[in-house]
Amino acid sequence: MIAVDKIAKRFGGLAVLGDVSFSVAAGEIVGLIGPNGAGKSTLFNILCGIIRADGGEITFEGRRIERLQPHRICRLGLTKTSQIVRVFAGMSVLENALVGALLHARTVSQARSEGRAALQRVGLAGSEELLASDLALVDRMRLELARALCTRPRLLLIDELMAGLNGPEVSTMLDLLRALRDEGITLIVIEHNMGALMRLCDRVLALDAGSIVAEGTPEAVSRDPRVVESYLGEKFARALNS
Amino acid sequence: MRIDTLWGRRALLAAGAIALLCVPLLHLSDYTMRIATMTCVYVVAAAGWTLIGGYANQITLGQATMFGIGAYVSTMLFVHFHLSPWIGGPLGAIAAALAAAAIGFLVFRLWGAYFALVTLALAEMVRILVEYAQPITGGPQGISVPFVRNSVWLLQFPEAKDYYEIAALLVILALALARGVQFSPLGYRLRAIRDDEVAAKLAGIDVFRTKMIAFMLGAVLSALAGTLYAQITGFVDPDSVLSITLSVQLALYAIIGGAQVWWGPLAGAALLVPLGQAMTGSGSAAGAGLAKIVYGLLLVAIVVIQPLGIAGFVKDIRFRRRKPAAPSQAVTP
Ligand SMILES: Nc1ncnc2c1ncn2[C@@H]1O[C@H](COP(=O)(O)OP(=O)(O)O)[C@@H](O)[C@H]1O
Ligand SMILES: [Mg+2]
Repeated sequence: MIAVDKIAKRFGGLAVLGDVSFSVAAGEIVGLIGPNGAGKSTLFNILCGIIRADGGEITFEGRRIERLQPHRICRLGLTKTSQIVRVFAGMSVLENALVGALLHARTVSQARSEGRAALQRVGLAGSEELLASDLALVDRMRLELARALCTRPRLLLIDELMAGLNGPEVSTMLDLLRALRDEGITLIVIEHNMGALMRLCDRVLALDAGSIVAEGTPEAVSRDPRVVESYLGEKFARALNS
Repeated sequence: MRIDTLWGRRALLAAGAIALLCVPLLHLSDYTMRIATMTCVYVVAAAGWTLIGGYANQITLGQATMFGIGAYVSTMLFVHFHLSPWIGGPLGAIAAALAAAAIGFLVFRLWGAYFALVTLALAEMVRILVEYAQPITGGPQGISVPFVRNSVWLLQFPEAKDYYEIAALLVILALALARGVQFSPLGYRLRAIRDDEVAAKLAGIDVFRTKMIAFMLGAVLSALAGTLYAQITGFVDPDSVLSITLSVQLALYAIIGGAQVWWGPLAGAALLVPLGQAMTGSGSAAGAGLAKIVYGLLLVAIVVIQPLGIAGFVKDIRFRRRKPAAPSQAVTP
C-alpha cells in the first residue's frame, strides 16, 4: 500500500525526522506511537503532502508521491485527520462533509447525500445544520473524520482521534475504525491511548527522536525496553506528576 | 415542502429581476435615473470582486485593474478601429481574464503572503503603463468615446438614464452568475479555502486552480462593468477607472453589503453609490460635508456592529433560529 524510504526532515536547525523507513500493507491497521515531539505529526504531514520532506521516497500504490501537492495525493486516496482539529468553522456540519464529497461526487446534491451518510457513521446525525464552530471539540474531530471519509480514502492517517473520548465512546470509535478497515481502508493511527491501540492495531511502529526504534505486534512493542524507557516511561512520569 | 420553498424562492428572484427592469416606469428624475444606472455598473463591478475577495476571502485591492481594462480595451477598439462595444466589451473581458491569470499566478503561487499589497502594487503598475502609453491610451489626460449617433449597436445614447435597461440586465446576469457560483461546487470550494486552506487541500481541493477560476470569472464581470461605464460617461482616464480609490470602493461595496453572499454587492452598492453621489453632487458645501460625515460614520458603524455586512444581520437571524433545534450529541467525560 505505502512504502516510506529514508524520509528526513529538519525545521531550521532542528532535525525532526532522520531516515524514517517503513511500509504498510493493504488492509492493515498500524499504530504509530512515540513521545510528544517525536515527529509523528510531521511524518503524517509529509505523507499527505502538507510538508515537503528534505529527502527520501514515498511510494503509494506503486506511485511516487513525495513531490505531489496534497490535493493530488488526496485524489489518489490518501488523506488524514489532524491532531489540531481543522474543520471549516464558518460552514455547517453538513457543508463540511459535503466539501470532502465534492472530490468525487458529480453534483452538490449527490455530495450532500454522501456527506449525510458519512455524518451518520461518525455519530453526527442530527447535527447537520449546526455551524461547525459550535460543535464540541470531540464532535469537531468526528466531523473531520467524516470529511476525510467523504474523499473516499484508500489509506487514512488518523492523528490522535481518541483524545477526549470517554470509555464507551472509544469503543464506538474502535468499532468504526475496524469497520472502515473491513471496507478496504488501510489505517495508520497515531494514538497515546495504549489500551485502544492494543485492541485495534495489527502492528505498531514506535518513533523516537525522529527514527523508528521498535516495530511489531502491540504487545511486543509495549514491552520493548526502548519504548518503555522513552515513551511509556515518560507517560508514567507524567502520571506521577499530575 | 422543499419544492414549494424552492419555487417560492425562484418566484421571488424572478420578481426582483422584473422589478429592477421596471424601475424606469416610476418616472423618476433624470438625475435619479443616472444614479440608478451608475449603481448598476458598480454592482456588477463589485460582484466581480466578491467572487474572489468575498467568497474566498482573498482581499484584492486591485479590482480597478479589471474595470479599467474593460473600459480601455473597448474604448480604444472603438476609437482606433470603430469596433462596436458589443464586441470590444467581450474582448476587454477576455483581456481582463488574461491579466487576472497573470496576476493570479504571481499572487496565488509566488507571493501569497502579501496578497492585498501585491494586487495594489500591480494595479498601480498597470495604471502607470496606461499613462505611459499615451499615443494609444491618451495617457494621464484620458481618452474620449466620440459620440457618433444614438444607436443600440454602438451602445451609445444621449443620456445616462438611457443605459439603464442594459445596465440592469447586466446586473441580473452578474448576480445570476454570482449566485450560481455560490451554490456550485466552486462556491463550496471557495468557502472552504476561506475557512482553512490546509484543510481544503486535505479535502482534495486544488486551491491554486480554484482561486484562479474565481479571480478570472470576477475579472470578466468587472471588465464588462468597465466597458459600460466608458460608454455611459463617454470618457475614460486613469483616475476614474484605474485608481486605488476605485479598487477600495469596489471592495467596500461588497464588504458592506456582505462579501460572502451573492447579493452583497447589490445591497452595498445600492446603499453607498447614491450616498457617495449625494456627497459629491450636493449643491452646497455644507451639504457635501454633512454627507461625507454620514458616509464615514455609516461605514464605521456597519463594520463595528456587523463585520459580515448587511448580510450578517440576515445570517444571524437564520442561525439563531437553528441553533437550539439540534442539540449536540457530544458526551464529554
Ligand atoms: N512547522 C514547524 N516548524 C518548526 N518546528 C516544527 C514544526 N512542526 C513541528 N515542529 C517541531 O518538530 C518536532 C516534532 O513535532 P511533531 O511532529 O508535532 O511531534 P509529535 O506529533 O510526535 O508530537 C517538535 O519539536 C515540534 O516543535
Ligand atoms: Mg502530534
